[in-house]
Order: sequence, then structure tokens, then C-alpha cells
Amino acid sequence: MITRSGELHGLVSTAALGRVIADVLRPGDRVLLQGEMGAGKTTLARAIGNALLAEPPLTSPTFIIASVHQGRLPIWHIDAYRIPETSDPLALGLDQEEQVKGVTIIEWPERLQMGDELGSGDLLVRLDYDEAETRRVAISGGDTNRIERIARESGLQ
Amino acid sequence: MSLAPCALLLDGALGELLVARASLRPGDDIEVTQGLRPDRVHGPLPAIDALFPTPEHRAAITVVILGVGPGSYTGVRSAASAAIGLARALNVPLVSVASDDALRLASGRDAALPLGARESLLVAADGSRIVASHEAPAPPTLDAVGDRYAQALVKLAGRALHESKAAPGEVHMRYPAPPRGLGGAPGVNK
Repeated sequence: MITRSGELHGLVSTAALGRVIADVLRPGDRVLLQGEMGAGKTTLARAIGNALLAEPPLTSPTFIIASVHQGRLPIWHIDAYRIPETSDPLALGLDQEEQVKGVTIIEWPERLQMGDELGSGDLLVRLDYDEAETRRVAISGGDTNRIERIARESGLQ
Repeated sequence: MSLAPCALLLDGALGELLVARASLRPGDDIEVTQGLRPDRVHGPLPAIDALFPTPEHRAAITVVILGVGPGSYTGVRSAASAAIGLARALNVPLVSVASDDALRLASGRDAALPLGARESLLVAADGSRIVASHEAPAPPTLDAVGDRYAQALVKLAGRALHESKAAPGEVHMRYPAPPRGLGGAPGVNK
């Protein structure tokens, strides 16, 4: 697994990172967004959705847990914040076979049984609050080429 | 006109929704008629309407047989919703059958049921276990196994009735396999 990290300064750079991530996504991929409340998970999810021409646009699914969007790829947007820890996504219908046709974006993935290994189709994005407009970001994944491309195109190290 | 007794079969474990009618005339072989392939928008009801177009046809239904998974999350639940509602409305027993047992009986070799985007349930002669999807054969289509699968559902339902696995109450989905649990025994609900 490879990790690249850097900083995001404001909504503009978050949107830019969302576009870069969206460009490398393929059907069946998962984007796992970690970070505390207010770290920017939903903002980045929305940015990825915008780049994929999501309809309707992504919003926080905290209360509905999962939403499905059409776009350049179908998008399943899941927020596990309200789900009991160590829940099995399969048991909850959050992992269905039709998701191989699109992209699944999961906020608070650590609350789900996801397995320890990141697959080649998984991107783990960790966002941490730094100061008002700045977030530290670390992106990991099993596909070295993709992580390097994201880092190169979004200025991560 | 009184039609021969029959069973309504519903199972969505393969990802495709099986809707079928099985004749239950004593002494006859089990004759299965598959319905239209339901789509996700309209669900199984149009297919059921086509198989049982008149009140006489519907009055001939003496049992509803439901495949309770493991398998496709949406498929299993779509089938269960229709089965529970129809069994209640027709006041006939609802018999639950394990979908992996039915597939094992129908396929006669290793086969797979879909479990989410990354996993499958490998159904082998010695049991069922979760494997990565790329390690399992593709789930069989209803075109390939539908008739045999439906006949297996009927045979297993008959066995469940014979063994008196009657358990009034709600339908229990089988989910999905060890090591993550295997809940819900097949049985009869009325």
C-alpha cells in the first residue's frame, strides 16, 4: 500500500482534488473517507460527485445512510456514522452486487467491517482539521499508479 | 372450474427474480412454469399476474414457497415482500427454503450466489462458504438453471413440511454463511 499526503486550502483545492480522484475512478471502485466531524468528508464526496456529473448532487446522507446518484458512473454514497460499529455492510444492503457498475463513496468506513486490506479498487482518504480553511489529507490505496497520479495532479507528496 | 393445486415459487437469490408455478397434482412429476423475468421497477407482480391470470388460477395456489437466501440482497428481499403479502392474502402457508440448498440440488456441481460487490457464496457439495467473487464461478442464470432450481425449491419445501419444520412467525433471511453468521432455519410460516 502506498500513501501520499499534503494540504488542502479551502473549497477550491478540495474541489480540485475531487476532480482528480473522479478522473481515476473506474466501475466497482470504492472511496473511503475518514476524518472527524467537520473535516470535509462530505465536501470532498460532493466534489467527486460533481466531477462525475452526479444527479442529484451529493449531500450528507447521515440520516438516510445511503443514497444513489446517476452520473458519468452511478454513485452510491454511504454515511456509516449512525450505524453500530463493526456492522457488516452486506447485512445492511450497503454492499450489493450492482455496485460493481459504479463508484461507492463511504464516509466513516471504520464503522463497517471492511476487511484490513485495501484492494486495488479502493482509495482511502484521511482528512484532518488543521486550521479554519486548511485540511491535511492523506490518500492511500493498493494501486500505486493511481495514487501517484492523484499525488502528481493535486500536489500531494 | 377447479384447477389442480399448485405452488407459487419466489426466489431472488441469484440476482434475477424467479417467479414460477409448480403443479402439485399427487403422483405427477413436478411441472414448473417460469413467469416473466421481473424488472426492478415493477417487481414480481406482473409476472405473478401472468402466471395466475384469473381468480380460479389464484385459488389453486395452496402454498407459497420462498427462497430465503443467502444471495442477492435486493433480490431476496423483493421475493420475500411479495411472498409474505401473497401468502397472507391467500391464507396459505409460506414455506421457506434455503436458496443455497436449492442451488446445490439444482446445479449438481460447484456454483455461486452473489453476495455484494466483492464476494460470492460458493455452494459446493460439502457446504457453502464465502469467497472473493473472482474465486467463484459466475452465478448461474435462470435461463440455465431456472427449471431445475424451481423443482429443487419444491422438493426442499416438501421435505421441510414432512420434517415439520413449521415455525409460525416472520420469515428469517439466511445470511450469508459462516464465519459471518447463518441465521434463519427453513420452515413453514402461516
